[in-house]
Amino acid sequence: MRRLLWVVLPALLALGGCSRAPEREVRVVVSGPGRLARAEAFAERLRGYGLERVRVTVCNAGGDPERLAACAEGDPALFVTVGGVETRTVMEAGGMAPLIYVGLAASLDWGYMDALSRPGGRASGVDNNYVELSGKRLQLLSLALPGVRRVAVLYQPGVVPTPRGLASVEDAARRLELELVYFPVGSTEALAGLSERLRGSGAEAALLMPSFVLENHLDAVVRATRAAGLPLVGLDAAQTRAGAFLAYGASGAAMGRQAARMARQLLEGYPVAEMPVERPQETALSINLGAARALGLTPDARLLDLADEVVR
Amino acid sequence: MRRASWLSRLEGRFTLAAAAAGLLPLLLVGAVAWYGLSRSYLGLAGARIESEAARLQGSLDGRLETLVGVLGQALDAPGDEAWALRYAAARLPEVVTLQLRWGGKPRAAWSRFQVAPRPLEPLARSQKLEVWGPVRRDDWGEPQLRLGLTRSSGRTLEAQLRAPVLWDALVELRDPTLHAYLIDSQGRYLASSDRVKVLRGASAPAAVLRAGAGGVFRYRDAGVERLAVVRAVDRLGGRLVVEAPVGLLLAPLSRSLFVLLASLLLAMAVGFWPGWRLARAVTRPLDELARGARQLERGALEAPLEASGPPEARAAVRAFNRMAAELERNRTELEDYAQHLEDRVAERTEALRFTLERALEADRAKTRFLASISHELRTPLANIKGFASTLLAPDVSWKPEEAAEFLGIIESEADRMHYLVNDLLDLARGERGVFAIRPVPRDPALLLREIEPRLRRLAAGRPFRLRLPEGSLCVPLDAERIRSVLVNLVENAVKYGPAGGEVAVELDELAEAVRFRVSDTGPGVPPGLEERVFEPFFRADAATRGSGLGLAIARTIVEAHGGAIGLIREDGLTVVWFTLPKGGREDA
Repeated sequence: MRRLLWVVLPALLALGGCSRAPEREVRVVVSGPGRLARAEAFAERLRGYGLERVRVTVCNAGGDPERLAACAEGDPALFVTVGGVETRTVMEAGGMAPLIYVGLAASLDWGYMDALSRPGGRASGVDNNYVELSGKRLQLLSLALPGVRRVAVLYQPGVVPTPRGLASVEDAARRLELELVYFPVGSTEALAGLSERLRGSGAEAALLMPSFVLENHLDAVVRATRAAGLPLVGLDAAQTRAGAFLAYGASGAAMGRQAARMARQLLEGYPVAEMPVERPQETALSINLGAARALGLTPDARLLDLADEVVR
Repeated sequence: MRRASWLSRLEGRFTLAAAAAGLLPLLLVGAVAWYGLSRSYLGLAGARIESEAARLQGSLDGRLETLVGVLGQALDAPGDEAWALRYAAARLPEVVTLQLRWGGKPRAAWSRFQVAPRPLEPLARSQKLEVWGPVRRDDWGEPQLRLGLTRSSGRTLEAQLRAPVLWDALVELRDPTLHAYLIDSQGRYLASSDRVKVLRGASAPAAVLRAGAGGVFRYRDAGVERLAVVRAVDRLGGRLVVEAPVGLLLAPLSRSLFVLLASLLLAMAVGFWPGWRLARAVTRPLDELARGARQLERGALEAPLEASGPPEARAAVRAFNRMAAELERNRTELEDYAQHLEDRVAERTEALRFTLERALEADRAKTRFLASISHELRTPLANIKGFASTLLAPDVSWKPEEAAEFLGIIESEADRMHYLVNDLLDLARGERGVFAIRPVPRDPALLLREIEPRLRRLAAGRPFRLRLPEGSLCVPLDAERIRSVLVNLVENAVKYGPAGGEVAVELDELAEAVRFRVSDTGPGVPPGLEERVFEPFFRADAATRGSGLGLAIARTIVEAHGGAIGLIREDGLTVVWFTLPKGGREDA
């Protein structure tokens, strides 16, 4: 009987009779609907790789901070975050699981890494360049609507990327000879009465800064700026489609797919501390002509030639 | 000479050797097939890689041509140079910064990220219209290409391009097993799906750097053998590499071959198993028999051999076991016999001695018997002869009453001889087992009452006591014979008992018999001779009177009735008892 085992056992092992590795969870943490597209694009691409014994789950907090904290609990094989608040929540929850972020602004300012090329911690990912692009958005607004001289800046105070973003905007405004009016929005309550305040500020356009409050309540922001008669400059094409006049930035879905490639490399054993932070492969300009018409504006026709996407 | 154990095992497993011999050609065929097929497969894979490299090189060259063309249009565009730059940048996602220079001074610039980009350094120029500068890396570690276009008018356009973005727009490999990357003139990664190597500025393997452009070659890197094709990208001064791990390329073939070999092996194993079992069924009993024979050779079989295999083999093993058991039994008996031979000799000697003593005793008994007979016959015969001679004496005339007295003595002695001869005849019949009795159901108590007067007379004035049971009894008996027994016993009691001693006759009813007891107050016989008093002519001492036949004849009579007789000492009395079965003699 023992001799029979010597024949059968190797055959069974060779034919796959050995035990399988445990399943690994990749958990995508999403604070609210404004960033869900990134998560879905990431999940779709990672699943498309067909990695064995890897399960991708999307934990959507729906704007609830308690649910967001719950999403950060446990010990999956990999955390994936889609913005600053998600990244901070997971990092502050402790744990040892590596983290890949999809679209974090000002990566170095969060204190989670030593350098972009060699993070050294448990986090790496795709920086969305939104801070650096904040001034560039102002320039594009100026090209589209050369008559605009006073711009309202909507930002969330206390958010890590905000100081650097405001500095970028201020530098651009100085070069473009634009006047800025600041509107801090620290919470959803601050959105109430925003349109009246914008109208009273004399601003001719509004610039959106990276913020999970503003991004997750974009509808309210769009309604407020429309009510104030101001064209809104957003962060990416999704916001243009949601009602913003103009946006310039990396597509969240594209960043999600880019991060999926990084996640695959991590799951194959590459150490996260050694994985360089990447920036988006593409930066797209999108213009919403419908929003412009609704506001009675006519953007410079030449800018339409530069646009990657025109919403009519 | 004892065979080596491994040789014995090999003998028992010749089928394994046969199977191995059958397996060897299969393995050889598999190896040859693997060698030939893998070479062919890799040849095809090499062709596929070459094709993919050519296609990719064409795409790259085309994209670079497009890039140069669009930038050339921006350079040559009349009017607002700034908008021309913006227009070009919008169509070329690789562009980071564009700068138009005219007359040596920057005239317009456009950056994808910055509002007011820093002026680009002028490229070192020869007489070429298109110049590619050295690769630089930005803060993110991303390699950036530098391109300069010059027109005869002195207008120049300088561009800073993101190499990975250029690559991402191109790389769509049809075969997922292949991997392609772009290296600069220094051998460092410019673009690759492995973005870490790109951002780190890692160098390609030395074997790739040494390889000539165009051909398929194999190299080993980090323990993995790869098949690769290198193509020169002249515009960039770099190289395009398309490669794949050999193991991955051969995976479909090796998987199929493995499945085929595994199936063959499994089929062999499945087919081999019953054959091996069958062969072992035959060889195992032979092994067992050999082992058993060796054990027998050493002394004894430790345990019966296990019978297995076909019926013939099991029969052989069983026969061997029986033979071994028989040998063992004989050996044990022999040892036992040898061990107890002296005892047996002693036993036999003792038996012989006993037989001899019995024979001598019988001879002595015969002598005694003859002497006793002679003595018993001679005494009455002498009396008869003496009185007859006296009567016949011629010189004496006897009175009638004297003559009658002498004749009476002669008659008495003749009767005595007659009784003696009858006793001898009875004894002889008893010993031959032909002693005749005529039992008739009688009440023994009634018999005793009938002869009580005679018994009292025999007691000759001594106290005589007769005890009988109550009620009537019925026992088959020959009344005459039993009467003679009782008379004889009472005579003996009177003869050997002390004067004035009581003579008692008792009758008891037992469960299966009746028992007669005749006791006296005499000393009886010495201990140990109780049995011998019933032997013919036995006398406890020389002073004992009588023929010595009475008790022997009494025993003959009692035993002829199926009863038993004995003599005991009891409470100072000498008791002779005998029993008569109520049902008579069993074989009567």
